[in-house]
Amino acid sequence: MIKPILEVTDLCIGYDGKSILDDICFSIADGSYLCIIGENGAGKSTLLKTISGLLKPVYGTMQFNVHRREIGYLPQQATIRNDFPASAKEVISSGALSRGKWYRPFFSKEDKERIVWASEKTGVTSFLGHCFRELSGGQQQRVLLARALVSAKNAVILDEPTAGLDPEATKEFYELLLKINRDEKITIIMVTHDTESAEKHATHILELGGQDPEDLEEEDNDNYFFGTSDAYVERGRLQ
Amino acid sequence: MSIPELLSFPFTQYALIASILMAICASLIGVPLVLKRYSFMGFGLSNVAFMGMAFALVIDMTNSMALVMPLTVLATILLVGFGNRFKKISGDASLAMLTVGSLAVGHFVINTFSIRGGNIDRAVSETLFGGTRLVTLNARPQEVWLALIITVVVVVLYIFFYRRIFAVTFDTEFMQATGQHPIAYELLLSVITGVVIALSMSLLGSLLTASLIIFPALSAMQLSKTYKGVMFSAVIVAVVCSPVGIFTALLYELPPTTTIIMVNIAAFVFLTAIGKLRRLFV
Repeated sequence: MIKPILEVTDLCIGYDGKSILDDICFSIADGSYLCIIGENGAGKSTLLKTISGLLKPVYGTMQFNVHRREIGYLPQQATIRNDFPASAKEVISSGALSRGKWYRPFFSKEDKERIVWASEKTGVTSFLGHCFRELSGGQQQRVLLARALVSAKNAVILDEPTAGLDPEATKEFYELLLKINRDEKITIIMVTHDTESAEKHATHILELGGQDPEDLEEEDNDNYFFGTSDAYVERGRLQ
Repeated sequence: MSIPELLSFPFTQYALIASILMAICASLIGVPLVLKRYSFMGFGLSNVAFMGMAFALVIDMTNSMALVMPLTVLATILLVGFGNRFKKISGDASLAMLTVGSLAVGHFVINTFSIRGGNIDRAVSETLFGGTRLVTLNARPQEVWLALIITVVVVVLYIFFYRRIFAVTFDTEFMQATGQHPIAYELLLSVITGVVIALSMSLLGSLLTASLIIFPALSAMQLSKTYKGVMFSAVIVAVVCSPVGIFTALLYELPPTTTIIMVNIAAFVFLTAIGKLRRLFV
């Protein structure tokens, strides 16, 4: 069996020590494509923030079997301000910081190659010199994905990356993610609203909340679903 | 008097060097502050430095920097680093309280406890607005040396940590999620900010300090769309405006610090207009 890249055991997540979702257990293998779906307020973003290390778990453990510095992150769009003077290249390059030691002020040759590689992968090479805030929503997300790829050897974590994008840009972005997952064997962990494309692209699905109340009455059942996307689709058909 | 004649006086030289050095430092710390939405902090912190000066004056400290600098650095760290962590009082409210409170405490302390004779109002006015004539601009040789050392240290730190200063200004969440320590760089920036504001306040007065933090940064944002470009432009704008202001003040017998601010405002208005025109026609 392939060693899991992420193991989550008895995890309780929440803010300020107050738990909003209890006893989450799952693990995913290297190279998986995991979509976290669920209603608004089910705790998707809280879980993702906990996985990315922005929030402390209330209880339980969450173990990445790679160093956090080898993981890329793509925040929710609202967290990046739209009046910031920076070129696309400056934004992408900042991804290389996690690779270098703090006392190294400049980029290594390897960093520079990685930046070129990530820009080519995401198709942003033609507007590297452009101002980040003047790019379209889809272009901005691709630049942020390139930044995540610069820092990521193993996995990329994404928080609703297509929120606010038009359908065309959304479709392009998903195709890009799928390509990166399949060609580069980079694990994808993504929160999304879009159940349909999650079923289509993901290898695994974690659905928070929204379980059948009858099932929940039995002691052992938790208020989430985790399984392969095929199992998820199959379960949907049965219900 | 002509400009070469004026330049032969040591006090003109000190004032000129001090104002250029502080322009470099203040514009460098100004860019991250403005981009992180802490524009008003420059003014708040120079008032804290003023309060420190007031205490130093009252207890008759010979080296007031020994009190003013730690106090300002501490206030910066509290505001930048931990403002978001104590949600009971919003960052906006705590900054406003600090700005108004420290100004009032400083003024109160000087007026109530000052044992030294002389014109208190003038001393207060000088610490706030700088001297009304260049002779009274506070720069003294040892302080100019200190300014030079601190400027060199600040510039070296900025070059060395340039990419991390960019990252911590642009997206701290990303840094944290990728296993870096944004808090360390926020702390570094806070310490630099506090030191520069304390020194600049004692050399040029609090009003000019606050102006040098915001105006060059905002002017630079009209000129450039990249972070590196904004950093460079801010320093250039600040370094050009200071001597222009000082010579204008000398030649027409105007108050030097506020003249430098006038020049900075004029530069901002001019560059904004250019920026608007460029967007219209290009």
